[in-house]
Amino acid sequence: MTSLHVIVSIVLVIAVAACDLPGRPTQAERRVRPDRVLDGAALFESHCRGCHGEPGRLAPVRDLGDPVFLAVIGEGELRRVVSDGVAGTPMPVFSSAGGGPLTEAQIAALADSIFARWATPKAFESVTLPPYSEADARRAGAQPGDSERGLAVWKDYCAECHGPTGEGGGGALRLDQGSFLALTSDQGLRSIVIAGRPELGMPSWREHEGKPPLTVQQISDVVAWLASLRRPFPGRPHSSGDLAAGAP
Amino acid sequence: MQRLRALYAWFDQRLGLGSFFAETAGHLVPESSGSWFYVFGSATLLCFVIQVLTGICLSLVYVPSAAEAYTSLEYLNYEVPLGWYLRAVHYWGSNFMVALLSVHMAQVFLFGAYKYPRELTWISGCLLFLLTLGMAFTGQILRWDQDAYWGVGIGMSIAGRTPFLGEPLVHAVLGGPIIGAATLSRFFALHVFVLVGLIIAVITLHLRLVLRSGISEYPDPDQPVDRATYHARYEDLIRRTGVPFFPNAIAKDLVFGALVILAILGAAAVFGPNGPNGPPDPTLIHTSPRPDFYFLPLFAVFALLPPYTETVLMLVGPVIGIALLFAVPFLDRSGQRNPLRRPVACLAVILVFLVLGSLAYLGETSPWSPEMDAWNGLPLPESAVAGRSPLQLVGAAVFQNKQCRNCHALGGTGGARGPSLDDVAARLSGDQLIRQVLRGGGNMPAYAKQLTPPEVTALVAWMETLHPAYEPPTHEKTWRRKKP
Ligand code: HEC
Ligand code: HEC
Ligand code: HEC
Repeated sequence: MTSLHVIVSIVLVIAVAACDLPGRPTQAERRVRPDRVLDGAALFESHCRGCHGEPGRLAPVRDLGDPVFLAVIGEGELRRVVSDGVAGTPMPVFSSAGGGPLTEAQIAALADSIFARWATPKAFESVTLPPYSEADARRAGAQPGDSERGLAVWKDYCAECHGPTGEGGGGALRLDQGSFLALTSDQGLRSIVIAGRPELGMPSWREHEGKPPLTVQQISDVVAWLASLRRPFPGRPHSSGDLAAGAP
Repeated sequence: MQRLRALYAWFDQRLGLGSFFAETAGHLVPESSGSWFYVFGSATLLCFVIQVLTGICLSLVYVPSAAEAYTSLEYLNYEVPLGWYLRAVHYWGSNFMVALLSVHMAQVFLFGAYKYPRELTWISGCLLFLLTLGMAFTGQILRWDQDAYWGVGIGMSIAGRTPFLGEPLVHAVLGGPIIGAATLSRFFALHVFVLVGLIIAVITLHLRLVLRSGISEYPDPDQPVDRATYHARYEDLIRRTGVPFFPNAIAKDLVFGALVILAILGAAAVFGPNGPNGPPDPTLIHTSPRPDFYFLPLFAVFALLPPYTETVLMLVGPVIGIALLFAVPFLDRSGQRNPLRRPVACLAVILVFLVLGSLAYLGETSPWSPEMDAWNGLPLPESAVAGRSPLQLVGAAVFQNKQCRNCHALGGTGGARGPSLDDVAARLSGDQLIRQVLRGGGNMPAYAKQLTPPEVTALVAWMETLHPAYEPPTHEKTWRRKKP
C-alpha cells in the first residue's frame, strides 16, 4: 500500500515536471535586454511597422515588403539608410552610434530578415534594374538630372495622373505641395519613381501603361524636376499668435 | 503499544501535552461559530504556513545580492526542475494571503467581532495586516527586477518626505542615499527574519487572545453586546451549546483550507510565477512598471493626486487610515453586532472595496502614464491612411515619428493620457489643431521647438482628415490658408 503510494506520487511528480503546465514560463517570455534582441522579425515589429506597416497593408510610408523596392535598394544600402536615417524626413536614425536604439548587429539581423522574408531575387535575375541612387546612375554613365528635360518626362509619363504641373487632377493627389517635398528626400522621390507605391496605385518605372519603361536618364531628370518645385520656406511659419500664452 | 503509552506519559508529565491540547484544540466554542463565515482566519494562517515553507525552499537557491538576485530567479524559472512552480506557489500564496486576510478583516468588521471584550484581538489583527503588507512589499522587492527597482524608488520617495525623520529613514532602509548593493540585503533581512519573526510573535498573541476571550458567537440581532452581561451570557452559551473546537468546529476550516491549497496550486500551475520583469538597469526604459496587485490602489492614488497635495496626503493619509483602523473597537464599543442591523458598517465595507477595486483597475490600466514604445510598434489603422494625399501621408509619418501615439490612441491602440484622435477633426478646426500642437497645454507638451513649419503643416493636414464619415470636419476655420 505505502510503496504503491510512493510510486504513484513519484510518477505524478515526474509527470507534472515533464508536462507543460500553462503557467510554466517559456523561453519566449524570458525578458531580453532590448539591445540584445536579435530576432529580425521582432525588431521589424517593434521599430519599423509603425511607419512602414506590414507588407501589403496601407501605411504612411512605403511598404518594405515590396520585392521590386528590395531588389532595387539591395541589402547594403538598406542597412545604411536604417543606420543613418534620412535627414529632414521622418525616417529616424537607428544606429546606436548615431543615438538611435539599435546596435550594428541588430540592424544586420533586421536587414537579413527583411530580405530573407520578402525579397525575391530570382524574379529579377533577367531584369535590368535602374540604379538605386543618383550617384550610382552617374557612375553608370547618366548625366546629372535636368529639370527641363524632367518636365518633358513628367508631361509624358506622370501628368495624366498628377496633373500637368503636379497640382493633382487625374486620379492622384497633388505633389507640388511645399511641405510634402520638404519632408521627402531626393532619394525618397527617386525610390518612388523607380519602385512606385504599389499599395497606393503609383506605378513603378516599368509599369507605365502603354509606354516603355523609364530610362535611367529619364528617372534622374523627372526627380530633378520634382525637386525643383521645392520652396525656400515651405510650410506655414509659426506665427506669434500660435506661440503666445507663455509657450516658447 | 504499552511502550509507546509509557513514552507518551513520560513526555506528557514534563511538557503537559495533554492539557495543552485540551486547552487549545479541545476548548469549547459556541456551536454557532462553526460557520462558513468563520473560516477565513484559519485560511490566512494556512497561507502563512505555505509561504514559510515555500520561502525556505526559495532561499536555498535565491542569492540576495544585487548582482545575482535576478539571475538566480531566472535560474529557478528556467533551469531548476519545477523551480518556476515553487516561485509561482510562493507568489500566489502571497496573493491569496493578502486577499484572504482582507476578507477575514471584513468579516470580523461586519460581524462586530471587534467589540467588547475582543478589542485587543482586533488590534493585533491590524498589526498582522500591516506586517503582511510589509511582507508583500519587501517580497516584491526581492524579485529585484524593474518593477522592484521602481517600487523601492516610489516607497522611498514617500518615506523621504517625512519631516526630520525622512532622510535617516531612507538611509537606513536603502543602506545609503540611493538604491545600491546594500539595499537588497536590507530588504532580504526584513523579509526573511525581521518581519517573519514579528508575524509569528503577533500571530501567537492573536491566537492567545482568541482563546482567552473565546471565539465570538454568530451575531444574534436580539442579543446586542452589553459590557455588564456579556461574559455571563457567553459562558452560558458555551455551557448550553459548546462544542470542542477539534474536531467539530474545525471541520469547515479544514474543508476550506483544502480548497485554498488547491486554488493556490491551481493558480500557480495555470498563471505561473510573476516575472522577473526585466533586469533592474535604470538605463533601460521599461514601458510601464507596476507594483503587485495589492499596491495598485496606492499606485493609482499617487499617480492621480494633484502634485501640490501629494506630500501632505501621502504622509497624513496613511497615518489617519491606520489610526482609524486601530480605533475601530474604541469608536464602536458595544451594542448590535448583526451586520443586517448595522447598515453603516455594511456600506463602509462596500465603499472601501469599491474604492480599492476601482483604484486597482486604474492602477492596472494606468491611463496617465504614456506608453513609451507605442510609436514605432503600432501600425496606424488603415482608416487613418486610406485615400490620403502624399502630404497627409507624410504627416502621418511625422505623427508616428514624434511619438504622439504614446499619449494618443488611434483605432483603439496607443496611450490613453491624451484623448483618442480618431475623430479629432470633428472637434477641432485646422487652426485649433495647429495651436494645440505648437502650444500644447493641459498635460500635453508644446511642440513648437520640435517641429519645423513643414512638419506642422503636414501633421495638421493629416489630422484634419481624422473624422468619421458621418461627421464632417469642423468648419469654423478662422485662418485662410496661404498657398502651402
Ligand atoms: C517614424 C516613421 C518611420 C519609422 C519608424 C521607420 N521609417 Fe523608414 N522611412 C520613413 C520615411 C518617412 C522614409 C522616407 C524618407 C525619404 O523621404 O527618403 C523612410 C525611408 C526608409 C527607407 C528608404 C526608402 C527609400 O525611399 O529609399 C528604408 C530602407 C527604410 N525607411 C527602412 C526602415 C526600417 C528598416 C525601419 C525600422 C528599423 C524604418 N524604416 C522605420 C519613416 C520611418
Ligand atoms: C497611374 C497613375 C499614376 C501615374 C502615371 C503616376 N503616378 Fe504618382 N502616384 C499615383 C498615385 C495613385 C499615388 C498615390 C498618392 C495619392 O494620391 O494618394 C501617387 C503618388 C506619387 C508620389 C507620392 C508618393 C508618396 O509617398 O506619398 C510621388 C512622388 C509620385 N506619385 C510621383 C510620380 C511621378 C514622378 C510620376 C511620373 C514618372 C508618376 N507619379 C506617375 C498615380 C500615378
Ligand atoms: C505627454 C503626452 C502627450 C503627447 C506626447 C502628445 N499629446 Fe496631444 N494631448 C495630450 C493631452 C493630455 C491632451 C489634452 C489636452 C487638454 O485637455 O487640453 C492632448 C490634446 C491633443 C489634441 C487636442 C485633442 C482634442 O480632442 O481636444 C491634439 C490635436 C493633440 N493633442 C495632438 C498631438 C500631437 C499631434 C502630438 C505629437 C506631436 C501630441 N498630441 C503629443 C497629451 C499628449
